Amino acid sequence: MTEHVLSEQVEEPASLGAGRSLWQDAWLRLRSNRAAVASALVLLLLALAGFIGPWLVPHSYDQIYPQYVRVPASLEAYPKQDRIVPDFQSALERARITIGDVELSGSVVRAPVSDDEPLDPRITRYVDRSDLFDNARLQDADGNPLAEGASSGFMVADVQRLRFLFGTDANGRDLLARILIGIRISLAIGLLASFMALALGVTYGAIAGYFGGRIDNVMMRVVDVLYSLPFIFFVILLVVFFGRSFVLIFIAIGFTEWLDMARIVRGQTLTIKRQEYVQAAEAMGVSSAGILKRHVIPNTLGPVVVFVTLLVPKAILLESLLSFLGLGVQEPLTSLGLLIAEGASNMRGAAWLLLYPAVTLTVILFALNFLGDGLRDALDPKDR
Amino acid sequence: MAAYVLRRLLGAVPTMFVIVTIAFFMIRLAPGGPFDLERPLDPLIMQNLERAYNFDKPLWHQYLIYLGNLAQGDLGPSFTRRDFSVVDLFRVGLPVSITIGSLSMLIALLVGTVLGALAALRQNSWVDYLVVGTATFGITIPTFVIAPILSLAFGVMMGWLPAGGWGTWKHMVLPVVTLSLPQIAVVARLTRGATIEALRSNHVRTARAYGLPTRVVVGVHALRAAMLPVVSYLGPAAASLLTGSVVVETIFGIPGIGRYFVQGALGRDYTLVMGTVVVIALFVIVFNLIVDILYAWLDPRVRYD
Repeated sequence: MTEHVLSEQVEEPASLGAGRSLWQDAWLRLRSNRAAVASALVLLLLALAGFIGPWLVPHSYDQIYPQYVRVPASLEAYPKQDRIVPDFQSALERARITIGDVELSGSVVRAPVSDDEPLDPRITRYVDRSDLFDNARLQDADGNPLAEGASSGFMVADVQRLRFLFGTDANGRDLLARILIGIRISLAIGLLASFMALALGVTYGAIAGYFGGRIDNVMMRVVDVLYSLPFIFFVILLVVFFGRSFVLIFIAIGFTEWLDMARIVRGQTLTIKRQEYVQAAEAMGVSSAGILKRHVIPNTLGPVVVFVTLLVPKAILLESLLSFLGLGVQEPLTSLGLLIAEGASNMRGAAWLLLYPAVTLTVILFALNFLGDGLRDALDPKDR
Repeated sequence: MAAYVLRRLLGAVPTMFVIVTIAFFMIRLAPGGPFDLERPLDPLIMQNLERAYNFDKPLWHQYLIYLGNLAQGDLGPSFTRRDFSVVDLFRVGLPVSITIGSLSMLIALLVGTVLGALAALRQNSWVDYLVVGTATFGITIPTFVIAPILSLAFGVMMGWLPAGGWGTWKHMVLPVVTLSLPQIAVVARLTRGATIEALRSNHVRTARAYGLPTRVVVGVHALRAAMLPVVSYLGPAAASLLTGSVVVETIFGIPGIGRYFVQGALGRDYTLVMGTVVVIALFVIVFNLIVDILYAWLDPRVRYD
């Protein structure tokens, strides 16, 4: 009993007076920002959709359905009722046999067929080849498999029901599956490129700021010169001339986006290195690399985190721009920029091909921007 | 002032040199060449071609030749468009790009400052919220989304304007709107923030205390101070207009230099790509200089000597 009382007495002042760390503080502020929380949720959903979505949709992103080219988005399953009978007929006509009236009951089509010679069972392939039908078989009038050598019977096939919630593209591929893959690729490139820029910029900026003097001067001059280059053009050059692999794209983007990061980190480092704890570490004989790793870089993280969240949409934008110009990821793989480009060239008569990817990209960019703004307010309240 | 301009222009020479060098070697080290066709050329013809274009010389020699020609304003022949020199192509393409770019910039500045100032003067009213909301949209949605959607809406569905091409003023409307929308958004945001700050500043309070009419206080004293961040944004704006022009010219099929660049890069047109890089870098440098001079003129506290 006494023990219990004692422990309570010890705990209470601690829980009342304990200072919240910078990160706890930021977390609380971020949580009270409704736009940022909503954006984080949206992003989480989209990331999940991009990550596991492609396994959940029934179509693969690169599967082509030649008979469903540019079908509009629809909640109903394809094929549409009025297309089944004519398509069955035209599939059968290729078999060069005599066809009677096609009848449709439920999801089974049935047509009497006959020929001068015995029916070859291989003619079912003509029907199976179509995206609309499945499990084609020859039967007699009672529904039993047709005896060999018979010259008349019934061709029966199941109608294959396919859903294209977002319609299909100009090659007959499911747009939903492609958008999901596009989300995956765009987010992945955005994150990887930002990480690349982060690693480069933080290291460079921290070294320049910490060592100062002539090293700083030279290193920042280099950044200034690189700054005045029309960088998008260099990214385009890089990507065009060195191939268009996924890896190269995010490296190229990372290489163009690290300059701001280097400047921010350098500025932060200049302040941090005059702090007493850094001097203490120096006095204790800690190596420069050790001080950079242990003291300087962790203390620059606040502004860096904010900058990275605003960098991700920039990287996604750049990737989409490259893909849009046909310089990004290559078919059959796709990204949102590429989908928008395809949509733009098919917009006459198939507007959904443009609108769905465009809306998806816009939502991602909005969410990332709001989240970045929220993080900035949370981590850097004086900058509001 | 003249000395400052001269010094800045001289300072641009090493920057240009670095740009040209990086671009030159990057292009040359890449696999593939302008004469790689589906069917390989006859080796003799290939040899002749290479000799004609100096490709048989070592790379450093070619680089020196290019620098020498560049110093005389010769950007070389285009490889993908036979019978045209790069300068010829630019003579056609550059005016087109500049027309679109400067129109967009002008519209962005006019509309952006007016919207921003309105929002600042009516802070926290519906005008303010409308401007800020629209600006957020304009900044977030990329050019390559706006362009096809505008083209779809006004070109294809309503048929008011041509969906692409070049020729009459009607062809200019959609590209210019597309290019200027994001810039309007940024300029409006900047002007709003700066005007709000300027309205609270000492010199505006003094002007009010003198009893000057609001028109003069806002139009002359507040706006002039509010223009500073907008002017310093002009440099980045020019850069993003250049990027945007690549997209817009590709989407709307406009024969400007942005499209040359993409086509040139895809076709390994060494000289055309190099020429575009040189022209664009030059443009960015000169533009930044103009911005700095404007800045000094607007803010007498800034001195260059």
